[in-house]
Amino acid sequence: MKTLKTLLLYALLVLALPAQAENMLMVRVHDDFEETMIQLKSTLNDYGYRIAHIQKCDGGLSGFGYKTDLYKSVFFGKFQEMRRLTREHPEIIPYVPLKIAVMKEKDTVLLVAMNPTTLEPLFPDPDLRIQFERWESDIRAIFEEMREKQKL
Amino acid sequence: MNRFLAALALLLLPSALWAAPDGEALYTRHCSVCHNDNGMGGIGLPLNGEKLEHFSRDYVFKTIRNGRPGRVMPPFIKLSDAQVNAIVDHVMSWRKTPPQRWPETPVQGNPQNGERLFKEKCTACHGEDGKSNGLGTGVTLSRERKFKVVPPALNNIGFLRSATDSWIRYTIRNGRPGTIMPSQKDFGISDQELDDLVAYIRQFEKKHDARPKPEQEPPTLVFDSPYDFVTTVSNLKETLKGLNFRYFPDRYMEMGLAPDDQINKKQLSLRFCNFNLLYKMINIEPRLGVILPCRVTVVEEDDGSVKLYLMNMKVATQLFNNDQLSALAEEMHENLMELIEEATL
Repeated sequence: MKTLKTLLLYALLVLALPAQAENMLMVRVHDDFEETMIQLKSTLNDYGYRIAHIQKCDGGLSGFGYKTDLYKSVFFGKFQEMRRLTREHPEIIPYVPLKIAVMKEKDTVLLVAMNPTTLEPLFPDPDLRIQFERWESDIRAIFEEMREKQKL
Repeated sequence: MNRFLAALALLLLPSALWAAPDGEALYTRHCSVCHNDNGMGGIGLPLNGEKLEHFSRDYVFKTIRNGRPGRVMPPFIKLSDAQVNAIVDHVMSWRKTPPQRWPETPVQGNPQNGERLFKEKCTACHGEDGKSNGLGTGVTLSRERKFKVVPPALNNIGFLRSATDSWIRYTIRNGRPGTIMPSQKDFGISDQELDDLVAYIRQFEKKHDARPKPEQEPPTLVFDSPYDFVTTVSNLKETLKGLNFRYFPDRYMEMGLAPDDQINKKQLSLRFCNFNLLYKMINIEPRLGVILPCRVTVVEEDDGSVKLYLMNMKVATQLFNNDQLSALAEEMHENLMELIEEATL
């Protein structure tokens, strides 16, 4: 029975293994840009995050005469989390709120976020490590939901 | 309980451990976000079309394993051989002809003569020392660019470890249909000169091994301001104007996350941009939006002292695995240091 339990645990671990540990977390959504932005806002809210603001990178570039397709940066976070982190770990200030870049690529939309766990070696603090891992888990889950919600 | 666990194990184990990996599902999960559906390309290079007819299984397998250090493609070291093989099979299924095999035997040539030929025939696209003259990644889908598809960096260690001499020789001999890469005939070179070129390209591997590793810097730059909060913000804005940065409306760090009467008004983010430099950088790395825009956060501490916090662009841009971007990040870093120096003088 012990062997079976071990095998079961191993099987569950195999199933739960994260995708490749990469610096950027990304998902491609087969939907139009505006619909994707609406879905992203709704999914972020479902996970307890609020959108702080949206930076219109495309508008800025176009305003200076550069050609670009739709491109926005979405800043999001949780108020209490942000307050605690900036007080206890001010060195993290330039990296919060978290960001998702949303860019149009032909008929699809790419969502990209920096993988928070890539910051672990740069900020070797146990408290921050837990925070980075929680953020990574949330962003992966949010992207997975975005993938599932898309129109096929 | 034990019976339940045993039954669950029997149900899960076959699918988890013994089922053959699904190449299409693995491609969708790990590759399509960059290479797009059916390999049509995006942030990553296109994998379909005539070009694919020239790829060997071995080259694709090793490319997935090695990645392209200093470029966008990461090494997929956590996938099993079976999983990588399944992805390769899936990609190869888009070919019209069966994949070819290329011998591992090194090509014998004169690298000195190869260097002369390379400088004459190849540098316009592949750049000095094979680093590629094409800025950016993959194919252009949303912005203008010099090359529709970026010519490969031939000095990239991931490329050199994935490509055999005979495959490089074949590519130069036949060119790349569907791209601007000409053939041996177009170049007007002999078979011996072809071998000399391959011998020179292979030498890049030795040069790579001698490259020094960059020193690690702190991810956040923190500066003390000799002025009070309001004066520091005012100085920064004046300096930004003087340095031709466009700055955006002020934002308190917590703004948007809570009602205005609850947010900390002693943490102010000044966001700004040099659109000329941004355009260059975003053409090289379209995902740059995850660290944009440039920002200085001014914080008044409990004791009334004022600190400035900035992302260290030289460190943050390393996360993109893109050497071309790192060079521009140095320029951006210098601009930011000038800003801080003037504003806190």
